[in-house]
Amino acid sequence: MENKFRGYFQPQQAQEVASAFAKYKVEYMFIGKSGAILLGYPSSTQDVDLFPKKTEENGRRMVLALTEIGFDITEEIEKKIIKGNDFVQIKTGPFDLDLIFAPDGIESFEKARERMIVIENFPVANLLDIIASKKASNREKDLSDLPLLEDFREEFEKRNIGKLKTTLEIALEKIDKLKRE
Amino acid sequence: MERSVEERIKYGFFRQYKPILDDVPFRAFEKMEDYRKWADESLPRYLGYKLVKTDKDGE
Repeated sequence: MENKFRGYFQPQQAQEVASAFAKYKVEYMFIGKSGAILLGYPSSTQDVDLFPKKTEENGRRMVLALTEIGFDITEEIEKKIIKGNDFVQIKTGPFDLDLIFAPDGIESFEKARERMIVIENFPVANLLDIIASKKASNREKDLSDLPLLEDFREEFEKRNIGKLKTTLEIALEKIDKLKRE
Repeated sequence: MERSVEERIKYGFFRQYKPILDDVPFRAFEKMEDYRKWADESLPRYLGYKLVKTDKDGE
């Protein structure tokens, strides 16, 4: 039985996600294969994986943002998001969405945010964290991705030296600039 | 990597029905290990969600 809502993630929706999440100040980042794809990893997936910060306030904001972009957030789903269940999978919107509040292999949202990369309007977990999470999940499909993801990470880093910065690097630069002024 | 972010999204996401996984509109697990266990036990092996046994598991 296929769910009547199911579609897939398209560029227009990606912009809507970024806009709605920014509007409601949701703290989150793309993770998993969907995150790697945004960074240029040549693969495909049907799920959008997001790693939101696990707080009730952030959950409430996320509910508002998801509703705005067309998800049918029932009372039951809302409770799970606000409570911050480790894993919430939603197929009642314009695309399939996994909310992973506690990804395996990542110590905390704050640590991941320091390493996070912002590409265009999209906050994306660092490839090191995406790889760590896949390693820790210990699933056949994730482990089979690992060698290619490691190769991609090497190439990504070679090509982006000095171009893409983590949020921590950006913050440190700002502090340094303030000190010099 | 040569593709724009828009092209990465356009060609990186698709829709494909996956049995059991896609048969409910919503599911949630309090702990990741509960989700991993459910997927390991409930989904067809060919979807790739089986957990890999290690020496630590005694196998």
